Amino acid sequence: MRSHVSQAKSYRRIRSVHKFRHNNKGQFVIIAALLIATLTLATAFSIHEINVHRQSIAYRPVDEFLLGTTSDMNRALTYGLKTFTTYLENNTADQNATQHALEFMGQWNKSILMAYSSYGLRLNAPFGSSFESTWNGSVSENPGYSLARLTYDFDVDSYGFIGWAGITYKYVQLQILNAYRNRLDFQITQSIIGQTNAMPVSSLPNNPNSAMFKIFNYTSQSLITSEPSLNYIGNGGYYATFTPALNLTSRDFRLDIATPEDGIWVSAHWRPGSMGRIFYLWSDTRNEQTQNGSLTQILPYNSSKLNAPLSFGQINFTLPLSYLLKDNLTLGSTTDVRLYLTSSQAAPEMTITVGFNFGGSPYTLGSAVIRNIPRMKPSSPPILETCVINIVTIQFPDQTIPAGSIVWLNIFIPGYNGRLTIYYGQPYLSQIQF
Amino acid sequence: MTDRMALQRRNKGQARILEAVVAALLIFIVFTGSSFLVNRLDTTSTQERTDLDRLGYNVLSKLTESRTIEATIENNATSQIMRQIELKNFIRSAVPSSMLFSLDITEYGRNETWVMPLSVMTISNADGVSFSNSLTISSTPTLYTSKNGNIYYLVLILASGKGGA
Repeated sequence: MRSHVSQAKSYRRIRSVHKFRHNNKGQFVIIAALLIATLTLATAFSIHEINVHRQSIAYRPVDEFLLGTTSDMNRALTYGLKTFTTYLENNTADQNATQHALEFMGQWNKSILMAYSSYGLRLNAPFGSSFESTWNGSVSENPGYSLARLTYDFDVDSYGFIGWAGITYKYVQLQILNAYRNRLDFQITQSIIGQTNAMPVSSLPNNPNSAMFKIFNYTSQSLITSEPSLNYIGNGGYYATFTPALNLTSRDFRLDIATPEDGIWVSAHWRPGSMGRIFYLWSDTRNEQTQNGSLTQILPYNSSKLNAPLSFGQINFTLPLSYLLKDNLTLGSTTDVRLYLTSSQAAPEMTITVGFNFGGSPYTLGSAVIRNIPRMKPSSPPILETCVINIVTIQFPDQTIPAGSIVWLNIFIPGYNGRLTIYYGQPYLSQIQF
Repeated sequence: MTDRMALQRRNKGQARILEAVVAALLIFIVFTGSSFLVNRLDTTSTQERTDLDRLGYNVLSKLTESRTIEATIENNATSQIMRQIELKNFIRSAVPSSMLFSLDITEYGRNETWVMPLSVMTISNADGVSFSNSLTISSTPTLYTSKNGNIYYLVLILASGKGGA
């Protein structure tokens, strides 16, 4: 009896262990846990390996380094142009003024090489600086400009940066728009890209002193003493009145202005009789004003653009450039044409013709060709294209356009199938100047 | 009979409990090990160094673009001490309060043949010992040409740690 009971007990014990060992309902829990463990360990190990070899993908402040260097390059060029124009303003010869500016740029060149020598900064070519301006008798005196240009090409070995090259500019332009009895209209703009993309200089003080605003008698180079009072009319345009009053209509004068922030001087020359000799492109809306019996130039001060008509195969259209002339206009030997434009298609040649209509008949004054108009993206700002037209002999006496004429400008591009846009109004003053 | 059935039910639950405990232990050990592998001290230091570099360049950019150098160092209307205080306040307002900083300004003097570095000013909110005790230090340089044509070399050193004086 006892052995039967003990046998039964051991049998039950063996059976429960057997049941326990074969109770494998929880195997999937263990397998899932093992899978999670394996994946997590694999991920952690990969991150560990990346971190160990992090040097190859570590952050390096290349962008900040380049941005800081480029910014100081612009600052140095600005000071160089200030030096150059200040010497010119003080009647130093062009060559000497250039020399002083180049000396400063050379100093800056040495400074940057010393500052970043531990970064492995190397010049592939010397910094190329140049300075130019329209001062006292240069080709294009109105508008006048002051320009500095810097070219560079260098490597930064520690960042593995090879062949970082480019050009940087500083450009300031002054255009005298009109001169009246005790009133002078002008526009001043600046750019760091070149002659286009100019931004208005809007910070001239209302009552500038002679340290930044001067009018000279052009012939004698003597300073005309009078206190100016400026009014800003937008887009870098101002009109100035003077105390005591100045009659500028028949004066041959030079206007010099220094930009308030950078101290860069720029100069423009206004010849007597220039009023009425500069024709700005304008809209069809005529807005004539007369002053003391003389016709005043119409200036559309708001920027806008005129879309040229399209014709398949070629483009040929005429833009009116003036109202009816009330006075005779005596011609010189040339006329300067300045056009701000964009083009959706490259054009190898663009023929500009200037003429006038009188008595219902057209008369041509001359033509010139502007070559290699580039193809531009839709969002590109306008570029400036210029040309000089030699004026032919006309049948009117004394080479004079008679009163009652309308001056026009014609543009012809053979084989053009794009969209040409001519800009007018500030700051893109497309114009012709006789 | 009743006791035997109760015993059988208890045995059934023991296997589930054991499996659950083993699985939980396994996952806990793995996550602990992963945390150790990922959060290495030198990885953390590298990230902090990167952040300090970025902050340093931002502060220098703010300093140069705002023309603060002309308003402080080149302002002859104020004393040297006042210039230092103004510059120090500027840097202090641009970095976190717990950060150590040191700004060293050197001017490149003009000479016909070479440039001569001349120390102008050093501004700091801590001594050298505090910097050496810091785990992470960054040094960011920049060149600055002022409106008056003076050329300065600025080096900003930042360190994480408790702020100094």
